[in-house]
Amino acid sequence: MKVIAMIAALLAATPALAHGLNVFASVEGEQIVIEARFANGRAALGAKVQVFDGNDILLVTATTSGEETRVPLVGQDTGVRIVVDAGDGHSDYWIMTPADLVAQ
Amino acid sequence: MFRNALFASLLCTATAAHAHYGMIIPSENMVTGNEGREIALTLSFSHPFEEAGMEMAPPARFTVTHDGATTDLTGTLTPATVMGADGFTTRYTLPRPGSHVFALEPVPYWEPAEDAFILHYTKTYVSAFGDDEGWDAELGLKTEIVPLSKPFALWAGNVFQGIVKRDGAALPYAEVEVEHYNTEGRAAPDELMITQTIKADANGVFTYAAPFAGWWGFAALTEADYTLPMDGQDKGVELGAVIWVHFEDVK
Repeated sequence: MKVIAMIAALLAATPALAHGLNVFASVEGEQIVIEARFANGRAALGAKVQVFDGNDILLVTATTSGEETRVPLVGQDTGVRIVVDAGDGHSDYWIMTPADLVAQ
Repeated sequence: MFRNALFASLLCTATAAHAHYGMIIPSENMVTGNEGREIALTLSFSHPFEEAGMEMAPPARFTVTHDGATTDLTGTLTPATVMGADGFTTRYTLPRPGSHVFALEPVPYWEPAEDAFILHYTKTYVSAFGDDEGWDAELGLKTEIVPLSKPFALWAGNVFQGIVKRDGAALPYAEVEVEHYNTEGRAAPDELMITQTIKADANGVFTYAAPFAGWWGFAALTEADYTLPMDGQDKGVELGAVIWVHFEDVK
């Protein structure tokens, strides 16, 4: 129930519309590995990455520079919303619950 | 009056059964991920337009293929009643973006009415997290329909194209049966409309435009180059290359 409420909170803070960009994230070791690709499969380069917790507090920022962008493992208590903005309306987000944020 | 009704009833009883289809129906075929990454899958052997199930034995193999790697999911299947008969369900959490191809190899089904076994290699494609990479994946099944159109993200009215393959080679002029999974309870204006039959061209390519949204099954049927025993006699085996494709409503 708590997890559902947390996901609902994460979704409520979601940007209006994702467009032409797909974001996915997973955990490897003590890091969150973020992948951001355009619809044609190319990695988004130079895109702005923001990691928010379940209370919409910004925890980490980064810039994409290749196939993967790694940030420290954060937000294990509340879950995180990872927003990637490549400009020109190309933005997307990925939600990770506390269950997703376990060091591998 | 009674005699006419009785006659009509007998005629109905004698009507040939409609096409058999191996079926894999996922709860979603385009999964965005942020609303959940787990899907349910229902496996059956059925007459999809009439929503009539047949008994399905535990499959020989049920797999998912993603990015060239195949995982055996046979052990995850749970018996379930599907369209009034024995079928199976399972749940699967999509691990990564891209197309996931679910494939079913059943055990041969003995159909006394046709004096033959039926073996339908069945598959369906699920796109995960907005990524369609791998939508045209070929699994290398004994017989298979390889998509030329994305097997998801199709509007009702779009065409679906595929190549019919048998032992890895295109099958010229293959017959393809097409049937809708009629969960809406539509009435067919004629028996001929329940299972439509089209043919592939000289390159094994077939084309079909779905007239309305929902799940549509495409089954390319061929005779196996082997027989199986039944009551001490060798019996023929109908091989089916079946693919299930969902078409979306314009809202």
